[in-house]
Amino acid sequence: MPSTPLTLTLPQFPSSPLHLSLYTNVTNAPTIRSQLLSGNTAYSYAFLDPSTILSISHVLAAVYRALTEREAGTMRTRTVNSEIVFSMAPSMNIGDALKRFGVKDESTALFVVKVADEAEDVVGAEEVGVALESIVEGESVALCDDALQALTDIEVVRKNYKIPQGVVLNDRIAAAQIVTGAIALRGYS
Amino acid sequence: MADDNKNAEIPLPALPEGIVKALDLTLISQGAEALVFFSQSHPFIPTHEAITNSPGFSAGYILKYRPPKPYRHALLDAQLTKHRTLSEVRSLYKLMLAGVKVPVFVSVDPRQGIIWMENISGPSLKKWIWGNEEVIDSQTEDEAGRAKLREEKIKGTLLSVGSEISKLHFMDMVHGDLTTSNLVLRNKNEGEMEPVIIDFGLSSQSTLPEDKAVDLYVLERAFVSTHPMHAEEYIGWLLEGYVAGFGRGKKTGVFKVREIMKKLEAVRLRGRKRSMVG
Repeated sequence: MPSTPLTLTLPQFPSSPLHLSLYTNVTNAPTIRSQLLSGNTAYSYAFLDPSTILSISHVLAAVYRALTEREAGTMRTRTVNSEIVFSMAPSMNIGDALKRFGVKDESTALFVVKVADEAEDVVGAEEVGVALESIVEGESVALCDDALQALTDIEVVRKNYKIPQGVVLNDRIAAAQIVTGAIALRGYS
Repeated sequence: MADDNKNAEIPLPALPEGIVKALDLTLISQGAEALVFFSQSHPFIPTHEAITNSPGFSAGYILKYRPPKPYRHALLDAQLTKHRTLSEVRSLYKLMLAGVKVPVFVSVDPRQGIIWMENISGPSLKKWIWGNEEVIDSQTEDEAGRAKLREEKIKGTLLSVGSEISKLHFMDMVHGDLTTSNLVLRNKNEGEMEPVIIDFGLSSQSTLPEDKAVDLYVLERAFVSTHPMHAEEYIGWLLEGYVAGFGRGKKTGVFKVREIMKKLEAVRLRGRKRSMVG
């Protein structure tokens, strides 16, 4: 029985529902990565490495930025999925962003985002769940901040966002304010 | 306002449609440069039981919108809006990282001139002092008694306001429009008020003592015009907190603040604008 992703809608983008899923014990990360690199359209999801993610709202900040850029016609990458991965980064280097925040060969957990508004086959949450079942070999976990928190590597987050050692990241909410700020300001500071 | 009706006829510059449709916004303030709206909900984090680590604020959010100015050339207008929006946001972000009490910045759309930030719920310093003065005046008729009550009720807050401004100046940031309305007090613990500095639309980076002295001078003038009766007393407390705040920065801080206070004397004599002679 494939699990159903968590569906959220951003107030400003009511026609772009988001389906979010979390997988652990993933065994086929290299396959997913190579399929993405070869441009397989069945893989039109944003695959993120959960060790780089603080919370759901952290990802939402990147999704919001990506959707805003798409609306303005100023996306830097080809698809909204890659734009989401790119938007996680605080820098303008696309390759570096995909390497840091996207799926890696050694990834054992995955955070998957589907922006369900393209004129495509899968749009409903159930369908996305079923489709992902055949793509990701791993255990589906009910997505919530607590589950996500267990997978975060705080030092990786600190390094990615160049947060000085002086700033304590124990408080997830304060940390989220710093990273969402970095995401919104990317390319402007 | 006397000409309320006249104002009502002039339509407000419209916000982008997507935002208006999506969020419940209330206009709370309007300046020459920007409109300030209040929204109870976050621009992009919906309420959901799975989201427990959300950097949300129960006091709601502020949307600051710089509308296009129709009298400017469109290209120039777009550039100015983008530039000013970004400079404000950079200041906010930098100060937040440094631990200065400012509204936490949530999101920005520089092309549309939109900034999202935390709403600070509380009275402005101006209103808070007025309220306290009223209470004090109603409690006793005796001027000595009132002075004592003022020291009890108002001094502590002004010391901490001065200390907050010193943090700003210590990292070489200048606010540009420090007034008693741009300092907001929020409840920290029972009865203890925590000052938050708002509106960084005119802020800039400067290592010059001169610019910081002008900041303080502008604030002094604001005190004189909003609280003429006890302005001197209030400014004294505020500067006491300010100087003490710099003391934490050890030697460099003490040196810096000495230079600033010296400049402040000069600025008081000549006013905010520098002499352009020579």
